Amino acid sequence: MSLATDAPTAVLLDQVRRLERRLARQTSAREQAETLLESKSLALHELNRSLAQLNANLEQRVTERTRELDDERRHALFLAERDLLTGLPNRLMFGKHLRQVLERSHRPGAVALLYLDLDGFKAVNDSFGHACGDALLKGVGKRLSAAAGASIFAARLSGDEFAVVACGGERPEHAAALAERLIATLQHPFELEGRTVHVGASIGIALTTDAEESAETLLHNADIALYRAKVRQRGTWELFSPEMDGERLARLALERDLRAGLAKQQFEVFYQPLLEAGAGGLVGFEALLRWKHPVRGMVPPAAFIPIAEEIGLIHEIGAWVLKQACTDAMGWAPELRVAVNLSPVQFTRSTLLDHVWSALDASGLAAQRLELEITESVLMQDGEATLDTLHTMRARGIRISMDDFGTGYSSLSYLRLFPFDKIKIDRSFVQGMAKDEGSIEIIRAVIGLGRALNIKVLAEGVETNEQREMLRVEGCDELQGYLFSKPRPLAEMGSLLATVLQSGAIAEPAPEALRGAA
Amino acid sequence: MKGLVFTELFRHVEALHGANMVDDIIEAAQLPHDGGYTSIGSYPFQEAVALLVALTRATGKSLPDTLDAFGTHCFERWVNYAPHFFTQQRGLFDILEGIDDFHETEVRKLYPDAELPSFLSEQRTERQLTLGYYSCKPLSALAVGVIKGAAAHVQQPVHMACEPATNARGAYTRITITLLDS
Repeated sequence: MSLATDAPTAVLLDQVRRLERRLARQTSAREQAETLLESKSLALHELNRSLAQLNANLEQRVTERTRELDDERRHALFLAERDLLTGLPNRLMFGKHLRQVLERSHRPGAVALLYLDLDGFKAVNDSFGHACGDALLKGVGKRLSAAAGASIFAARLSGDEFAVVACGGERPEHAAALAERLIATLQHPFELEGRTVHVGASIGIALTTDAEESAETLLHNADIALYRAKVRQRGTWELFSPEMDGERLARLALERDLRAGLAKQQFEVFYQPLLEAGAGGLVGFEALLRWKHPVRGMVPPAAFIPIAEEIGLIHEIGAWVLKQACTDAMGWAPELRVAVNLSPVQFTRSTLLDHVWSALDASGLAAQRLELEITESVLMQDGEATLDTLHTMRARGIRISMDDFGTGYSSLSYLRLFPFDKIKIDRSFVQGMAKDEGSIEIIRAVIGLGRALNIKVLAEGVETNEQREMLRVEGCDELQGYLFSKPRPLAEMGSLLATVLQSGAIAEPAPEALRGAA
Repeated sequence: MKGLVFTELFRHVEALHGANMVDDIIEAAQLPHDGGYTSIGSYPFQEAVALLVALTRATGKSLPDTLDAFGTHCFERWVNYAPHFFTQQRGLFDILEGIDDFHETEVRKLYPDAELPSFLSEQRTERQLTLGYYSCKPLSALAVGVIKGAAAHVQQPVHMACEPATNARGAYTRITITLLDS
């Protein structure tokens, strides 16, 4: 083998070796790349799977959240149409329902709307607190639902106002029967937070009269009928009639005048003497509120006191009477007392004591000369709070009298609750004395009761000498009535007071003379 | 170090010195394997050093000169890969200041785990740009080569000066590029 042939062979061999190594490098690089690609592929696959899982989770979460939101939306819709406290439909849903019902029924009288308002709800709220008031409303809601039945729609409109829609009755008697059923079911006492609470309900009924009747008109009419029911007699129902609107407006005008009356000084305190039954000596006067309206004239207390109580004006009026009576009494002989009536409504606010103290302090009248007269209905409300108030008054020296004794339900038990200073026998017994045996027996028993319990007994409404004589014989302590004097303005009491101051007694009352004294 | 650096080095060496030179330096570097590299793989930096040393021995050129030339090659490859990033209209300084952006947008998406160097502009006037070159490897000569490649790309004669510098990020190389009249 020559060098000439060897050299190219060596070069060729070297070239082959190089090519083999390059091929090996390329192969190795390709294999590395493939391995890397495979592992990348696996990683991507894993990633893709977890992404798919994430996506599935996300979709499920979205589905769930959508369902939750839908539930919430439906719940919100439900709440928007429900009264949260009672669970009954609210005013919104009531309006919707009423409009639908009216659209469907075109016969007159086919739809009856009963507008119901609780009697005494405010007193429950004021005396026992809002929690008790709420519990009462819940209870009322339950009873209404139960009494109304499935075919009748009951809703709570606001506060203590409820409405019931009945269809297909066509005759007023059906609506009336339903109203009576509802009133009856609410008359049963409610057991709330360990208390027995009595309320009642008044209902205004409106029936559709023609096909065009709007929900608003029907509700307005029912409201007017309700108003009438409340004014006339609570715990009853009234069926709307067109003339009622006039009465309602009249009542509203009266309310307006009443509010203005206090500011315009249209009120005046009249006085009626209280006398010793035996010697006939004057012991004091009962203060009686009078309202002299420039157009209405003298408005009887029975015509405006209940309204003042209802609209809450009684608190201001009561405070004014207390102050006026105490101030007037300061002008009398120091042994004469002044008796002032307190309304049960005044006891529902804590301001009563402030009003009494302020009347005494402003006038300078000794507390012992002030008598406060309450009726048993005062004790029928929140007994404990009322008793506290009465004891506080007593502690200061004020005398407390039980007024209209015998006309309530359970007067005797109230005598046990509080040590009254005086019982005032209702005029009905005095007037019945001569006619029926029952009255004189009751008077006798009350006087005996007074003696036994060391409570003075006064007879109201004494109009004849015969009555006076009988009461004196029976041992009644004090007398009051037209026989001695009707209630008169302070200015007209001058002569009577002068007589008392001179003689210390009205020995033989001369009604005519007294009445004529000016 | 990304395999791409090795494959580019071999491409550069083959272009300059022929395929046999690639075989030779691989052999001379005494690598623990047969010298097969794939661009997406990762390999020890030491292997790159061994290859470069082998190359300097084979060519007789200094390491900085070798790196310088390789840097220029790298820049040319970038232009080839993403010409829109390196249009001549951008001007030299804008191109240099845009290198990091190129790395982050174009390189990172292919090589998410690459340890990329950074060119941060420190000061710039109309005629002069001061760049900080940050790299975890001592390859400032490579950076100079890149800048030279860029200057050649836009046909702009420059003067360059390098100095070691330190700041809060640590040690780096400050490169001042001054434009020369052509």
